[in-house]
Amino acid sequence: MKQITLERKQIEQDLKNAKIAAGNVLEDLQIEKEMLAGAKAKDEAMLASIGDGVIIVDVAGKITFMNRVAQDLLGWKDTESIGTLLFDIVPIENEKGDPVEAGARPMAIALAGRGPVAGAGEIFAPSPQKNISIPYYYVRKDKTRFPAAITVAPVLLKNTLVGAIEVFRDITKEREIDRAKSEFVSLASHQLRTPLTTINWYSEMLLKSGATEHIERQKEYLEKIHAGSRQMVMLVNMLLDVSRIELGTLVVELKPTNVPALLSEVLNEQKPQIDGKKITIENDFSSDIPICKTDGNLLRTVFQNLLSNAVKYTEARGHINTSMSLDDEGNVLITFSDTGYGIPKKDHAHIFTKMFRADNIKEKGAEGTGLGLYIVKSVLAALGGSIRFESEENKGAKFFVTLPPA
Amino acid sequence: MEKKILIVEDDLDMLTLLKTAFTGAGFSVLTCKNGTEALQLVQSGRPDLVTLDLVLIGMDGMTVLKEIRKHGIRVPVIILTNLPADQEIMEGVVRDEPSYYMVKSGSPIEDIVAKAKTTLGI
Repeated sequence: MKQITLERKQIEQDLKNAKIAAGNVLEDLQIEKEMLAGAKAKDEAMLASIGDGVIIVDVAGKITFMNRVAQDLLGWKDTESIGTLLFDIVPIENEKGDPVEAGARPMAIALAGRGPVAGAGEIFAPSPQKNISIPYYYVRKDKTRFPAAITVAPVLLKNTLVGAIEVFRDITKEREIDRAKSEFVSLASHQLRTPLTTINWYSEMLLKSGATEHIERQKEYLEKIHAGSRQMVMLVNMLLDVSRIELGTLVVELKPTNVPALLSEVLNEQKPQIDGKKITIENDFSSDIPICKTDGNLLRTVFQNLLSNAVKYTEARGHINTSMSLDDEGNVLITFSDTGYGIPKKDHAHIFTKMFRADNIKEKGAEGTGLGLYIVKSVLAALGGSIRFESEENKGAKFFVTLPPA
Repeated sequence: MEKKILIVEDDLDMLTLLKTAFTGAGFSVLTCKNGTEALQLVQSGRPDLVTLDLVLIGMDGMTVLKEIRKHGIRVPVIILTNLPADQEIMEGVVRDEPSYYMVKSGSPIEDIVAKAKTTLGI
């Protein structure tokens, strides 16, 4: 009997120990579970807060996760997209608007186990067109579209494919910048090649004509060559200015500057062109203009551009007026007015835009780069000044430059 | 038989130089400075060859070329421009043949005249 009692006690003790042990295991499991839940929440929070769009699909291509950026970019809420096939709700198109077939989509390539796929708005199409790049566009829920840079990678768990993750962003801005850059390069080459052509062709004629050509004709050719070369120098300087403005490397050296004297110098420099077109000019500088702390070289560029524009866009025997005075706030106010072709109302908003040229002056055949006023405005901003204008087509133009005295 | 060439060029200096060179080489020369006029002259003047600038006021050169072909006119066209050969230009050269592309600054006038002559089989 005693023996039985002892055994029973032992069993009860064992049970108690087992219960404690089980409790401990349960407690450990709970901690583990909480840690796992915490880690999962952390992973999801990280994925959700990535600045690019993130979509995760399972092996069947069904969406299992879509972060906030992806939802915003595509116009689909995660509540309506999770569980649906990615290819059903988010079509991809090529540049022309033709749908990209399912098998050629980056996600399909990744799910087919062909490794990670990436492209900066482009993906290299599988052979035979291996080297042809195709820009891809995502189509939003509202059927609008945007170009996207897409990276897709298969998700592997113990070497088994369990899905794929797609990271993408809208590259509309980048593409606009790229386009603007290539347009600028195209324009710059065209502009630079124009005086080069004149130089080449006139010198070719000159070389061919030899001593047989009349001396006056030879002189005329040399003058054309010289003009072409001057034009090249001016263009190169302008392109350098544009490059400095855009790279933010425009050096501003503020020094005491006699602004009326500077404008007088520029007026003198351009006297041959003014006289050549028999343009009358009147200058009205107030005597109380203080010595200004500004960058004389940059201000010279401003004056040169504004005056040469006035000369270029005013017909022969027209009139130009320049003036300088102090405004109510003590700023120097400099005006350039002309009786020239003027700026049509529809072009007012664009004339400080790089490479913009109004149609009316293009029709007159006046040479120009579309860079002058862009440079003027940018340079004045660097000097703490500003520019505005008043103009009507065929009624001339008046530009107002405001410059702080110090 | 004297061959007739139409020079479409909006730069006065270049136009004068090309005209002088082609006249000197025995061509009869028509000239104009814009796209709309070019299209009219191609139809009314029936030139044997056209040199076509691309940057023109109003209708640009590529549009002129397309329009010429749309009217079923097969006159050889030498695109004579300082624009770099972008995709649009190269596609136009292939699609709207017979047409050729020459960069003004890289081509002596002599070469342009020579190209016109070979194209016409002179």
